[in-house]
Amino acid sequence: MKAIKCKVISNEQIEKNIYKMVFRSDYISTEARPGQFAHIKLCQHSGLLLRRPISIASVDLNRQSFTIYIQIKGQGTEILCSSVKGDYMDMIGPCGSYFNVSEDIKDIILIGGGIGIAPLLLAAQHFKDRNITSLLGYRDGGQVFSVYEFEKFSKQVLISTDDASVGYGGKITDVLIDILRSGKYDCVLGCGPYPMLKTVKDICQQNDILCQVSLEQNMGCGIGACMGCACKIKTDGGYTYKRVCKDGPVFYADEVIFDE
Amino acid sequence: MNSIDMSVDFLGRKLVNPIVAASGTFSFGMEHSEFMDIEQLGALTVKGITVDEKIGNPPPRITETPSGVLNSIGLQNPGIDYFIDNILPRLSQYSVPVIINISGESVQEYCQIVRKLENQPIFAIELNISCPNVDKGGIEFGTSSQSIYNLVKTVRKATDIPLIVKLSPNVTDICEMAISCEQAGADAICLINTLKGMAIDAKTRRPILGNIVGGLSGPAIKPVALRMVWEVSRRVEIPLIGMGGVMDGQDAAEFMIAGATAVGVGTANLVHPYACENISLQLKDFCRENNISCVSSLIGTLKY
Ligand SMILES: Cc1cc2nc3c(=O)[nH]c(=O)nc-3n(C[C@H](O)[C@H](O)[C@H](O)COP(=O)(O)OP(=O)(O)OC[C@H]3O[C@@H](n4cnc5c(N)ncnc54)[C@H](O)[C@@H]3O)c2cc1C
Ligand SMILES: Cc1cc2nc3c(=O)[nH]c(=O)nc-3n(C[C@H](O)[C@H](O)[C@H](O)COP(=O)(O)O)c2cc1C
Ligand code: FES
Repeated sequence: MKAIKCKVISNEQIEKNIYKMVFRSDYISTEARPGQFAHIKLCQHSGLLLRRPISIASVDLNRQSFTIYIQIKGQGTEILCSSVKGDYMDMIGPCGSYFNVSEDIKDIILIGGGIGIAPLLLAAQHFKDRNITSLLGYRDGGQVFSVYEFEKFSKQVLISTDDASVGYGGKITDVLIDILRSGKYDCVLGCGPYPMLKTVKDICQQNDILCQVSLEQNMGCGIGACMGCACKIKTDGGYTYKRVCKDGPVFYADEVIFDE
Repeated sequence: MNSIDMSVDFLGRKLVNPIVAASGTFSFGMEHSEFMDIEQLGALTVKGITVDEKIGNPPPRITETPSGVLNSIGLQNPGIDYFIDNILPRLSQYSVPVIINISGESVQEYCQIVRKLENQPIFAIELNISCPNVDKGGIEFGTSSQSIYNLVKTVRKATDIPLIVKLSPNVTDICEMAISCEQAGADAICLINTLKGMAIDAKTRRPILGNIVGGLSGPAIKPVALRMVWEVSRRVEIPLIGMGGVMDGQDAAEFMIAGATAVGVGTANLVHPYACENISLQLKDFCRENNISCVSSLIGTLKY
């Protein structure tokens, strides 16, 4: 983890409200592990103080670059998306824990919802020598992004949209139930909205399959120092709060308490 | 000017510069040490510590408001025993003076922590009587001059370790609180802690923070903090650590001019993990540009 200035190589709007940005950084492209994020400072004069956590979605070791996908949510993400080629952005990264999958695990399911699909792309790239099944859930046809990139690294890619405009019409977790019924898999890696992750956790517990999830939480420092990014984690007798930025964002689903 | 003397005398010690990492924004220093040399700090204040472990408030705990940060961490910390056994030994390998920020729910709890800190390698104890984010203790002591006096007086009797009292801005008359601290034997005053505030999501009609209310910090509170430092500095003799929205060297100079001997940096540590180092370098530049040979000559020099 380092504080560095990264040059914007490209920034394009790829779907309604979703931007794909590529940055030059030898350091982040070689160090980043799937699930990790960059903590990005907004431009100096925005009046907004805090950095925004954004997942590292893919790396290109030859070009020494990495890619992120940003969905505009509020003012901060809007400012990030307005940066142009040649700008330098102040980042801390790569931050946090990552999807850690041992060598003997061969059949991996990636399940993502919405912008939570972004970090799974790096997982697909990273574990491309295994058998990857990618399950990608989008709200509507206007939000479908990076499918062809998943296809490069996956044995199969299944898509769902809430409005049934592309792929399966309904929840991506229904697709998960379906394929677990018909095939053998060793682990599930998930990222997306909390209700989806909770369902993923429940499904994996019922099927007795190992599951890791990447969580989101408002952040302050992003380096583990302020305790601002708490998530509820099971302990022997009850629960405690851990840091999404440092102990996470990736946790074993079994230890996460999804009640907030 | 060749060399600028950046040191300040504070509680019988020469700090290498006036910049102090503020409690709760710098944890126990280990995370920030990956980004800066923590021995370049004037002093390091650790995250608020309580008798027993505290798991803190439900999330979300932090959000952004115009020019400010609103937090409701709720003093999450591992408790004093764990701190002394596992964290302090690592921290004391550094030459930086360490200030221990403590909170209690009763006078007894403060004394209990203070006694455990006796003979430990620490520079000073900072009594946090001003945390807006816990139900009991903290701010309750900090909003009545009588209870401040009783607390400081009792803790003073229990230890010879230098005592700093950290004041809450959520009071009618900050000077009254400061004078009570001085009369009860405090060695220094630290001000200000966060201002109580809240943020609402109008669409969902829900509070943004899990705890509903939180403490506001950052540039938004700087004018309030400067005013309080200035008012207090005219009414007490003991030195002040001034803080609230310090983001650069010029902000730090303003707090010294208002009357602070040392300057705390909080929210800026969340924005830039190397903020304290930058700010002390910028303060040095400020001195150079303004023909000031020793930074301590800024203290309490407001012209009016
Ligand atoms: C580990 C991690 C990885 C992420 N990866 C991506 C990604 O690859 N692409 C992407 O588009 N988004 C990602 N997010 C979410 C993104 O950080 C938020 O959408 C963004 O911070 C919202 O900022 P805003 O100013 O636009 O929104 P506002 O709603 O205006 O933000 C207000 C405040 O809330 C915080 N906040 C609001 N929503 C979130 C959230 N979901 N997560 C964290 N903080 C939030 C902001 O930081 C800010 O302090 C990730 C979040 C985390 C924690
Ligand atoms: C995330 C966060 C946690 C804090 N925790 C503590 C604490 O544990 N004890 C304390 O005395 N002050 C605490 N504070 C207050 C700061 O030390 C400081 O007084 C305040 O934030 C004003 O300074 P700033 O504007 O530079 O941040 C905290 C502030 C923040 C932002
Ligand atoms: S954001 Fe500061 S500890 Fe996680």
